[in-house]
Amino acid sequence: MVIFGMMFYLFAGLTLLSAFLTLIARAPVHSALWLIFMFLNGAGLFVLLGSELLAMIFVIVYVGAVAVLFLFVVMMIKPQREVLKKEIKWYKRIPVLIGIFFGSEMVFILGGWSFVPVASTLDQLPSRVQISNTTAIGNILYTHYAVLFEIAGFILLGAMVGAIVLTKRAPKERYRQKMSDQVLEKKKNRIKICHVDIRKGV
Amino acid sequence: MGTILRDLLCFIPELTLGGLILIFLGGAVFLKKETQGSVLFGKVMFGVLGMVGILVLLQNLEPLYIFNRLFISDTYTIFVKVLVLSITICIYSFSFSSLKSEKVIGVELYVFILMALLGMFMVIGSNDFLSFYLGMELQNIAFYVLVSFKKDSLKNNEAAIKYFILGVVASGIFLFGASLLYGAVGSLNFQDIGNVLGASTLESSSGIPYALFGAGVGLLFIMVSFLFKVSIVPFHMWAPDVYEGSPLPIVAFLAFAPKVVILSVILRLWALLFSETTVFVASSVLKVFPPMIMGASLLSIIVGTFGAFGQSNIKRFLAYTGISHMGFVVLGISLGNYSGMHAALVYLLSYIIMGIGFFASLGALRYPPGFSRIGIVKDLSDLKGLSKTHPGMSFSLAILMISFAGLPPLIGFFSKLYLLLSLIETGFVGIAILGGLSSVVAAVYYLRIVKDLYFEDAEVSLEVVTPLSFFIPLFLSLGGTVFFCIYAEPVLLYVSILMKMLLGR
Repeated sequence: MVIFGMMFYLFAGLTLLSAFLTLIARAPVHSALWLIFMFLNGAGLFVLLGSELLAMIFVIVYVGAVAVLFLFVVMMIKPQREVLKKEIKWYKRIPVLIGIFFGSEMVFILGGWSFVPVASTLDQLPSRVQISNTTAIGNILYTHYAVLFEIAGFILLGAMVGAIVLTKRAPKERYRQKMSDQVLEKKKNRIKICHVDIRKGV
Repeated sequence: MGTILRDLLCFIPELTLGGLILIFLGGAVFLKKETQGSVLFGKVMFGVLGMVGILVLLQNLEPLYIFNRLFISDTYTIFVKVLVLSITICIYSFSFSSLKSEKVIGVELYVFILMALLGMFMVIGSNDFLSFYLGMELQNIAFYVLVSFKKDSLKNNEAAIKYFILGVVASGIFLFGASLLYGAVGSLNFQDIGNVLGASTLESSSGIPYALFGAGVGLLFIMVSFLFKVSIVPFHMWAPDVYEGSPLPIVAFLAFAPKVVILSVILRLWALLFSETTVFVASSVLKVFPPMIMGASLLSIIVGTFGAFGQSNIKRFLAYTGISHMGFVVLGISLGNYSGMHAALVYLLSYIIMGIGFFASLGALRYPPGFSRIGIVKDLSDLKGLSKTHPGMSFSLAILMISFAGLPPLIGFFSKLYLLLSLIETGFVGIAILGGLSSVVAAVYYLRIVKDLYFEDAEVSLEVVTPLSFFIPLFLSLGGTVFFCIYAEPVLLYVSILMKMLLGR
């Protein structure tokens, strides 16, 4: 079982390393690529835990959809780096502080993690020998959490409709000739007759 | 099968809302012109909201856990649902005309109002952090879109981006906290968490209860995201900017409905985990929570009060006063005893009653045609001398301002009185004095508006647009503000029944 331990430290180390490189990479495209690498390592960790379905979902959803979308966005936006750099300099110290805070907190919490005896009775996971991963998730997702599954559908619907509404441009913003408006236009609305004094202007 | 049928019956208001969202989205396709559709849907909305209200009122008052304890339905949830629904109806009835003048109109607007309502109903009924999160996310997405609806305005885009990014960060913080809590406790169900935390201190007499420490940090993160939504001080920065950039009716919606919803969940959790009846708080990590939340709410009273001083823009002013009022409500909750939570709910009710009237009156005041600015009134100084041209409107504004300031016969006085009394009862005399002093300071700028209305000369003669539907929220609000001293008894009794039920007495 040493190999499992080694694999765990390999994946975990690479996850941390690539997360760090995502932050400090200079080109945004490199950041996105490191992010994809981080997700792949995360999927590896899931495999080690014995949840192969989650690992595959992780790869398909995060690497396949989200990260590739990031790549597209990053490639389409032209970064104005010189302007950004000056403004960002001051803010650079704040993430370090937050990082120290979160890191020490994790050490505190995980340092002496222990379970209350009552908590083990609440565990809903079936044993992995008897039932496959996919069946287990399906069993609970479509029975116990069926309502929440439907709500998640509504959230996605809302996000989709919202994205369409906000990116849609009203037709009047396009430049299009309207014959009726031109014919019906009155002189007084368009032409202003001024009496201009000499050497004074309007 | 029997339980599923029963669960679905308890869920009928939510199911109706979900169905209506789909019908609205589908119906919009068949309408020829967008303007025609929006007018039609705008009128249908009154009936729709009323129908949902009747369905909520028809619910069973017995406490019931539905869908495997993911949701709960009892008197308290029905009360909060009716409250949120009446806020929505009031705001909707005065906002219909002003949304037209701000050029924010479209079929999707109604879809997103309904979607926000659905999300809020889910959050109110949630009995589990998972259902809470999904409901909150549905509500958030609807609000992100509502806030950014005026897409041609640069200010509005800024507000939308700020609200979106900060809202997503708050959601992330919530998820981090919920995962820590799940790791420590093994469940996300509210009752289970209460049971496990109660059992953990009994056994860990030797050494520090580390598992509880994990749960404590998890709860801390969850509380932070709650306070962000309610705009309590360290997390209040978004409110003024977002309020300033968004259309007024949507600001009104944003200022009341989501805050009521989150506060109702905070009340439920607080009664379960931190109230005086729960024994384990005194001997564990969780005992840092009440003083911490109390400090944050006191800070937000002070920052909100002094921040509102220099504001000239009405919406920014409203944001800062909202911060200080929310501070008072959370201060009451953080006491954790019956009288404090009772006073908090009464304060919340009074803030809603006064605020709806103020927003409705502002929505009716427009700049005259030909003036350099268009639409709904934007600056506090524009209210100067309103009494000469529109005595009725300025009288109602003056009453609301006096009530906000907390002067005797009006509702604002009584709610502040109950809250400060409960603080003194519990032994926090110093905090009560600070709260009283800051409300004296706040009275200065509320009364300054009254002075502007009556004793100043007008710089611009505002127009007042009053469609028939505008009078419903205004009269409800004014009636509640003025006559609260007469019918206070049944309201206080009802609130006390709710609080006793929450605290399990």
